[in-house]
Amino acid sequence: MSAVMNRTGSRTVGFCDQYVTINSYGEELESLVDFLCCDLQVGPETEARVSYDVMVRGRNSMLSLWHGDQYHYFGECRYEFAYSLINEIIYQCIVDNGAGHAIHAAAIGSENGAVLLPGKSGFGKSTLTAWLVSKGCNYLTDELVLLSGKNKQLFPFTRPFSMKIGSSAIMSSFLHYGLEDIISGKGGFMLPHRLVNPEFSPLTPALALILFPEYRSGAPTELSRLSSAFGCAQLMECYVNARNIQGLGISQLAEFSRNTPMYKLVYSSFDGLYEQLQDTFPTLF
Amino acid sequence: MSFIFIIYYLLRTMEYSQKFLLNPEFKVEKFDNEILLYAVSNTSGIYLNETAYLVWEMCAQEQTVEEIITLLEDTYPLQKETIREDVSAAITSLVEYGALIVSSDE
Repeated sequence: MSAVMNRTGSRTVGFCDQYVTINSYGEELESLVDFLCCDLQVGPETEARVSYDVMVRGRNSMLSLWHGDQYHYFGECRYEFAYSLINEIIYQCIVDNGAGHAIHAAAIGSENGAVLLPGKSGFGKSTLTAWLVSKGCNYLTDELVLLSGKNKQLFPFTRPFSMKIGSSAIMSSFLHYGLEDIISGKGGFMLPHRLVNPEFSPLTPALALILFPEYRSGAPTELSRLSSAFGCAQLMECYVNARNIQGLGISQLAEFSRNTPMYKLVYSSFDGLYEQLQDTFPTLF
Repeated sequence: MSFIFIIYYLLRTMEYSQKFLLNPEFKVEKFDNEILLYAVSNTSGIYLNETAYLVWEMCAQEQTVEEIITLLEDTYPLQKETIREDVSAAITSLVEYGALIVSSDE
């Protein structure tokens, strides 16, 4: 495919020693790839496991995402294209990564440690994380972390916030943004984290706290401490790569659970939530 | 709906002379006073409370459901009223997760 078009850019992105190269064919794709991957970029000398070609062509500016001769997206929607591309990058970064435990989780963090917010899709962790970042917390990720056994170090997959379309009303309640700031489609929208908080430090802090968030309509805000075994079971539900748990064993994950305070956070509103988190965990919020 | 019916049916028709076998795929991770069962082939973990863990251990010793209930009633006489129900619920839950398998031996 690429032989008939001029390449306009190439970059290598990823995390935790797993990288992919993205070759762009079309100037306007440069800004789109930059929007998605600006915090994942490494030097061009870094060896990539695979490469993808992203193209834009035709009167309708049709976008396409290719891996060799296989295409993963072909269409007009920038959001769907971006969603497909970021998911391909995540897959490649995780599928053979034995460096740690890949957990489906959002995370914020500072030099004092990382707060992990595990949860499956639809649990509202991106919206909650965006709100915490708007209150001054340092963003790490809204999707994926790798937890390494050495010092419980947390490596975040830092990407733009990716929201379900239903989150837009809540987001608008604490953040002013326009359509020009985001990439949107029928299924959702992506929003640069620097728009929420321009102060950003790319950190890989040690895990200090695990909060399992649950939005429950009408419920009062409640923080309840979880036992190590129960928390470990919850953490396993958010495990991304089953092969890793066979390779690394559960012992390390159990050790994280024993050594890290774990809480369930039930909330229906942000009112008073930050103050409660500050009171309970003053070094982390 | 059919799954709920199967669980309900299992509870209603549980043979107390029945034995259950441990699924060898499940391993035990012990915490202070708690237990986590987990399957090696995937990432499912099951948190066991004290009763469920006792049931699990007695199933490992090839005890029948009735023997498990009797043993627990003798050990915890003050909780005798609820033990039968607790044991049935624990076994049903462990079968549901695939951690226990119905033994063909009577």
